[in-house]
Amino acid sequence: MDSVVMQVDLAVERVRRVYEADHERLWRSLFAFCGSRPLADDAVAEAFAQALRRGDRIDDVAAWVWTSAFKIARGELKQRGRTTGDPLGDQRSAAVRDDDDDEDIRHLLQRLAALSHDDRELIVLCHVGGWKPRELAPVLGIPAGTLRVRLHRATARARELLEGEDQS
Amino acid sequence: MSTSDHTDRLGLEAFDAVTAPDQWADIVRRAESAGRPGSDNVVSMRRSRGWYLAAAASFVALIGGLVVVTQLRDDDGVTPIDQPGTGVSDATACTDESQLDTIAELLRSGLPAYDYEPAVDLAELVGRNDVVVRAALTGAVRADGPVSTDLGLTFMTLASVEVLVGNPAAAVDGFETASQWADTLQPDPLAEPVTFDHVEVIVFLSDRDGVPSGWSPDIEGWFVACDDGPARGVIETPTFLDLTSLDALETQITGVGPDTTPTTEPATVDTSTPATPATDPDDTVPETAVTDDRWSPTCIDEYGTAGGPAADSGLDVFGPLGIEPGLDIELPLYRSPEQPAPGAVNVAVGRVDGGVAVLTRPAEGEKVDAYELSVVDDAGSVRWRRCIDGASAGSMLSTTDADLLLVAEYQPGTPDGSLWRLFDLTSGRDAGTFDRPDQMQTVTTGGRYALFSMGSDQPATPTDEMVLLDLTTNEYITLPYPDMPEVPAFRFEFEVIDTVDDGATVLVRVDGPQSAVSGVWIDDAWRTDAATILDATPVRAVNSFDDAIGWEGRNGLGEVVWSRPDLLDLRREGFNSDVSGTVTVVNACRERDDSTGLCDGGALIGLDTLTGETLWERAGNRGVSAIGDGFAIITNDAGDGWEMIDTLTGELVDESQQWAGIETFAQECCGAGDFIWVGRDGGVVFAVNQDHVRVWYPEGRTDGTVGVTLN
Repeated sequence: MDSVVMQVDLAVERVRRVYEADHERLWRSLFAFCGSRPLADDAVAEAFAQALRRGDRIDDVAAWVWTSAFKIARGELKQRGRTTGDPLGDQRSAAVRDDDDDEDIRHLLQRLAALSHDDRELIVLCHVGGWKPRELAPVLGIPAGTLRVRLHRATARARELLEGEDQS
Repeated sequence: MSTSDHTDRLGLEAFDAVTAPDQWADIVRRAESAGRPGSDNVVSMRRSRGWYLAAAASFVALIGGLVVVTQLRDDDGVTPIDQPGTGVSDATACTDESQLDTIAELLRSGLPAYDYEPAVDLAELVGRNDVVVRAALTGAVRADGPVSTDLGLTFMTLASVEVLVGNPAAAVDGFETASQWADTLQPDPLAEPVTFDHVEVIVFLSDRDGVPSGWSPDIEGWFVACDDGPARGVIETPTFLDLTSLDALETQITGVGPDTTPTTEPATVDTSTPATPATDPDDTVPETAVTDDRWSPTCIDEYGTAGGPAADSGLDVFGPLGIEPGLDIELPLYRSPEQPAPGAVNVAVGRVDGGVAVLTRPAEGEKVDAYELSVVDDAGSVRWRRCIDGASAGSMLSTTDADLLLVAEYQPGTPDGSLWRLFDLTSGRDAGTFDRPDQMQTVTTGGRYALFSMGSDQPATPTDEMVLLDLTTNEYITLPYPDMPEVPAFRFEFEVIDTVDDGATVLVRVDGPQSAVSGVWIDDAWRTDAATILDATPVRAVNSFDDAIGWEGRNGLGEVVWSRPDLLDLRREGFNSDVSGTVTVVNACRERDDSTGLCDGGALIGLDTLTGETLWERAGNRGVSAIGDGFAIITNDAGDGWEMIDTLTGELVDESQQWAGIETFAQECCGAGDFIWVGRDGGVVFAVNQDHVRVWYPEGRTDGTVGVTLN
């Protein structure tokens, strides 16, 4: 019985350690991705909760939680996108922003929302979440070279949106 | 994972100041509400050696290339392979072969248990690493790794480093392995630095961001010797290596290094070694059909028979479509142990002679090691179906006039790579592999040519090369990267133009489509003169994403040939622009809301690509689902259906070319775009909607819709 308790204990501790190390960056990344505090709250909490439930079945808790949280958020955005009735999938209606965000953050969220979904995800993972391409590639399950190219192109597009207006 | 060291974060560092809520209590509550363990009480942060080493084992998976940790043992989680015996401290001077075992034990001490995929041959071992070096091993010490990992490492220092394979300029002065001294009853023999004398090594190293030196060894690629004596594997020793001495090993290694001479002589994709022996093309050999019940319906291998349909040029050009799809293919669903209810799949679709190829992969992502591949004939019969286990699928390359289908397989545990697996289009049998790891591919419209280039963050070296493959002949040539040694390879953006009569022309830009063309690969050489660039590069419409500039027409040199500052960026996801004959159709903003920065009035506009002149304008926020060859499918004025327009006039081409229901050619966003999208290949349109692919053929080519289930 002791060994079972120990196993559970260790599994929870693994998740807790990842929570302590990654939670803030993950939450901020989801917030930047979704433009919505409630959605970021839900995606992050659910991902960690599912990691707790799975226990030892997860090899790499950090990778699992990051990918799961984004998957959950994408699913939610997908549901909201379907309700817009807009064939172009207008991001404005997909995001719910909060009044207590300062002007800079609101501005950034607005600009990020204009990026394509794929671009936005990569941009926030790397520039908000702090992932390096080589580390992120195995987490996303794509070759590092492919990821670097996608990130480079996404960054170029994001730069136009995020910095273009300030320069003009 | 370490924090990004990017100094330029696009202003997104502002998010660092956003306060994230403390969610742990909510997380535990959610976990408990599902009836599973998890409470603040059990999170006592109690340390145990077992957990600590398990974490170390995970770290090995990060830095050890093909290492996959699977052997967790009892309560320790991981047991070190071996611990050095007595006399280790005397083994630092290597004077004869008898000391090699002790030195090897010392070097691998504390390494967590591991599993790994053995290399088949030396070429594979070389290919899965970035460099192979020969050097003097001067020291080793065990110490803490990066703070973020909370793990231990063994640091090896090298001198007199010679790069045998890989970038000759690679900076290698040491490498690290994950390690943890677990035996509390004996002192750690590497707790203090150990120096070596007359110890030589050959090491196969991969570039790793997660370790201080940036390098970690392959589990099968680390060999030591005392000067000229026989060599010994430190961790695992492949049987195909000559270890009579490091000189012999070096000779063997350099003999299989990459050919450094680019060639323009076509080579042919090797189809002589099928990837799966069970699918021997010899019909006299009994087939081993794979059955995979993770798919719903269950996937069962079916092979086609000889004699596929011929190419049909009547399907090559886009134009008016049948009023109903010719095929309605019901896609299989996928279930996993975690999600027993069958779920939706990602799908790739492409034209092949006489039918369409359909690749389905679990929506869990490319890390799920299974996929299904089928070819459905235009008449509605399933030509063949394959159930692939043990690899996940990335891109699929298909075209007409071809006899092979290529699927990029992502190999779990490999740092970079994908391997292209070849399938015979007639039978579905394995037809070999095409090994281009860590390669991006650029494909021509119509899919005849594929260019494979690397996404390295280092500049290409003279020995690096790209591959240009002709899918209709299976021939490929290698070509060097453009001679721009200061530009990291991932910044190159290639465009391959099928000139039809004269093969393929490759254009290269640096930093995206808005930049000028830096070079043209034509007639077996990179050419950079203005005349060649202008001749090879058509004028194109470019979105500046800047309201002060709007849209511009630019030639290959990046010169502005026309300007439309009245056309603004929509700042939204969805169709942006595309070319149809001489016309560029753009989705532009005509009126900006300055208070929000968003668009208050969008329009679909047909521009003369050469002059920028407006040929037609359709007001409203519109979707465009397929475009080319003078036609486009756009959302109608009411926004509740689709219509085909002539891209020269913007007008409906015929009353029959209207389709009710926005879902008919819907393209979703926000993640849903993975499951709901429209593609076009020549005159055939694929409308993917979660669990169905509907295939639309040119008008008059089909008689009603044939339902197809992949089972």
